[in-house]
Amino acid sequence: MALPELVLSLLRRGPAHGYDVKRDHDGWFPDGRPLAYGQVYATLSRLERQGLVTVQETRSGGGPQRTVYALTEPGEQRVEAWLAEPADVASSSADEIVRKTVAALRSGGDPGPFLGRQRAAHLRRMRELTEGAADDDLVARLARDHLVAHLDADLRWLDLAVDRLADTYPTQEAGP
Amino acid sequence: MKPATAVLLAWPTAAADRGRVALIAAATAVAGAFLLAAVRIARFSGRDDGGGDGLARYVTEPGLRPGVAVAVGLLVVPVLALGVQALRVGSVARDRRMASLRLAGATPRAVRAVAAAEAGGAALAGGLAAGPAYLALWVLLGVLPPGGLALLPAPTPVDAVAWAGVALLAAVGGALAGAAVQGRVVVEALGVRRRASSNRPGRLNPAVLVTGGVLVVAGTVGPVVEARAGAMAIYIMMVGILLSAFAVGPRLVGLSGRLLSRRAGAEALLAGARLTADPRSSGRVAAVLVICGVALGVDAALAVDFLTQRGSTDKGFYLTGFALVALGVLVGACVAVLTLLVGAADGLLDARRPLATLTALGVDQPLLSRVLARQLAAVAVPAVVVGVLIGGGMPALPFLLVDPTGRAILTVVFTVATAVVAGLAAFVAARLTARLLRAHVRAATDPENLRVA
Amino acid sequence: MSESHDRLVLELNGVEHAYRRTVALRGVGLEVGPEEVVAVTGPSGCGKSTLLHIAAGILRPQAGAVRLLGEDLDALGEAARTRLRRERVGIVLQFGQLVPDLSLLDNVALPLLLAGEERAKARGDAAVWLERAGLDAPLGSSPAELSGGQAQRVAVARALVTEPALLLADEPTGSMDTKGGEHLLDLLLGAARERGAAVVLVTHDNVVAARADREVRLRDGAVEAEAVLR
Repeated sequence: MALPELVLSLLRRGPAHGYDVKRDHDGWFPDGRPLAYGQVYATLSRLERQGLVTVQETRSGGGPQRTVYALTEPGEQRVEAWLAEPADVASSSADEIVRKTVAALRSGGDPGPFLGRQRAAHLRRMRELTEGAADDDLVARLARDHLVAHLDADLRWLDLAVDRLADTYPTQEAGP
Repeated sequence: MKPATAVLLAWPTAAADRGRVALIAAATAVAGAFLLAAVRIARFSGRDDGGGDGLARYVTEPGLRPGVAVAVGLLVVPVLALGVQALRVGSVARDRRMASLRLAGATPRAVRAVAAAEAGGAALAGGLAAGPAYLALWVLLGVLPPGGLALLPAPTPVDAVAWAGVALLAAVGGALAGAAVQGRVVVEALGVRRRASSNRPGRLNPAVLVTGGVLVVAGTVGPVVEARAGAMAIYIMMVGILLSAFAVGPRLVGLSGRLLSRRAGAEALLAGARLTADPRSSGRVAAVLVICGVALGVDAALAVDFLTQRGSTDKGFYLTGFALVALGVLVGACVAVLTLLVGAADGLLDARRPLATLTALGVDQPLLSRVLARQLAAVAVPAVVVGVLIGGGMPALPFLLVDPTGRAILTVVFTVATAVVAGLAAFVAARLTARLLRAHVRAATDPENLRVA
Repeated sequence: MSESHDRLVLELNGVEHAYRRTVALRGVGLEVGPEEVVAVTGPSGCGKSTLLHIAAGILRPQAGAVRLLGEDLDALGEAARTRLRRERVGIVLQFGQLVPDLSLLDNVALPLLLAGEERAKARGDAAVWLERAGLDAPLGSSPAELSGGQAQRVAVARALVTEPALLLADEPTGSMDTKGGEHLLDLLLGAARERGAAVVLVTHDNVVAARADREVRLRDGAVEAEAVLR
């Protein structure tokens, strides 16, 4: 589960309380299940132990609720590395893909390159599935068709994302 | 649908529509003028009926008059054919417009009413303009020519009645023609497809052909049997020629197309396929050219016959007469070539997408222009040649069979020579027409036409 | 791409084109190697079809260079460009591309006839390709009698009949259902692979694009991204 990287992305915009992290997360995924406080603080603690997050200040009274967390340098790099790779299409769940894409779109900067990489990953997986399809029996092909259809749906959603962002970010030229 | 609505929908808005309406009206006006003139000549009673002096003997002599009336009347045919072709122009765009009317809730009858209003209105305008056009024709043929050569007697008040009749006839005929041409537009989910009309000649065709043939024979043989039937015979023959020509036109074009398709090469295949796919509209032009050919053939045969007669008086008179007929044939043939031009230009417009696709295949404008030239020549040349041979053969054949003299053989030879010359002229005209349409071909093959809608 | 330039089947460089006031392509580059299948994708209006027409030599770009099968298209006259396209390139469009006056057989035979082949032989070759395309309609029928899918099969047969080195397809499955489109692509790509032809596939369908070796994505007339899929 990419919850740690997600929390890191949430902190990318600036230091925040755990409460803010939970609130921002719920704002990013308004139709999903709200994030439990316990999970947030547990993740933040783990991230602090790993050195990816640091406590910036503590209000008087201590307690996790008053602590402001901030990304460290390694933490920043971890997020960038996470976003530099597309979600693994063969093994990830749909949730994972959505999570990563939203994080990429929300965390500032041009999401174009990420979306391009994710699209390529999807297409490669689709190609793998269709290449092997001809030899299988009917039911196996149907199973593959189902996967392909879902990948196609993801792609069209990604295209929509790119379309809607096209006005915000001018086209970059990429080429050989 | 209320008549007012039909008229409102039929009103030409786009520039292309206006051009088409103008052409229909102009053709109707000129045809109407010729018709009025023919009727006037036929009506001319020789006595002082206000026809004026200076009329040529062709008109004043009762024996020659019917011939002149028929000749002028025949000129109506090419012009009317041009009008019908103008009616069919832009059918693809019009079908789409009618289809959207259907989708909006109009019944097939309402759609036909709109088409009828469109065509009928244009024809009515033309019919009304036929009056002034007739007057202009009178100035050209009756006033300007020097004394003794005027071909058209002065108009009389009776002509006004005839004019009203022509206008009414034009309106009704135009409306019927417009409704008939509209056909039944089939609206399909993906687009408009005109109900596929068979490209075989209609079921009536053989009957018409036979009837026409019978009439022609009757007209030829009749005067031999019954001397007084001279004038009637000519009219009967004229009707017979008209029927036969229009029945034979599409068949001739179809045959031409099939022969062309058999020749080697992609160009011949494409040209021939176009003719066999739609012999009807080119068949009409072929019919007109057949008629022109027949008239020319008859004229040439009679001229030779006359010239070889010993002791003939008044050579100048008769020769001028033959020359005038030839001039009339030329006018008719030019109108027919114009009809070909309009038809070909319209065809190019309709076939834009397939033609642009052909460009993608590697067929360029020069090749397509050559295909067009072949197509037009295949319509024009056989029609003219067949017409001349029949026209020259008709007077000569009875003589050849009964009493083969040098004169008859000379007539046949001259007829064949005329056929060859006329055929060559038709060939040149076809190539010229194709050349004139070069820009249209280029526009049709523009890759822009490949774009979706 | 590490192909040497001489082996490239198609090469576009800095191609620009505009229709009246709309800019269709801005500085587009594309390379297609032998036997490669390249998908050109992008939202509608991004210039994919214009790119295809320029690649085929149907349209002359307002700027930039096009090398097709080693020939610089700008240096060739129109007749030479047409001949090159006729002999070495096969084109399939989305619809409405068969000559309505000709029979199916003659439609497929047409490229061969244009190349000067004798009629009986051309028809024979055409019949073979129509059978390969799996067409079940009679060879003498008219294009108007065919369904969309059948007409596309005939169009593919026609594109393949001259055994071209490059196949250009503009939304070939655009007006077909999923299964029909799949079969058409099997036909097209299978025949291309057999003959060693390169394929440029313009499409807005992701499943179609996924069958290519490489995807070039356009947006607003420029290349937005390229991805290697194989």
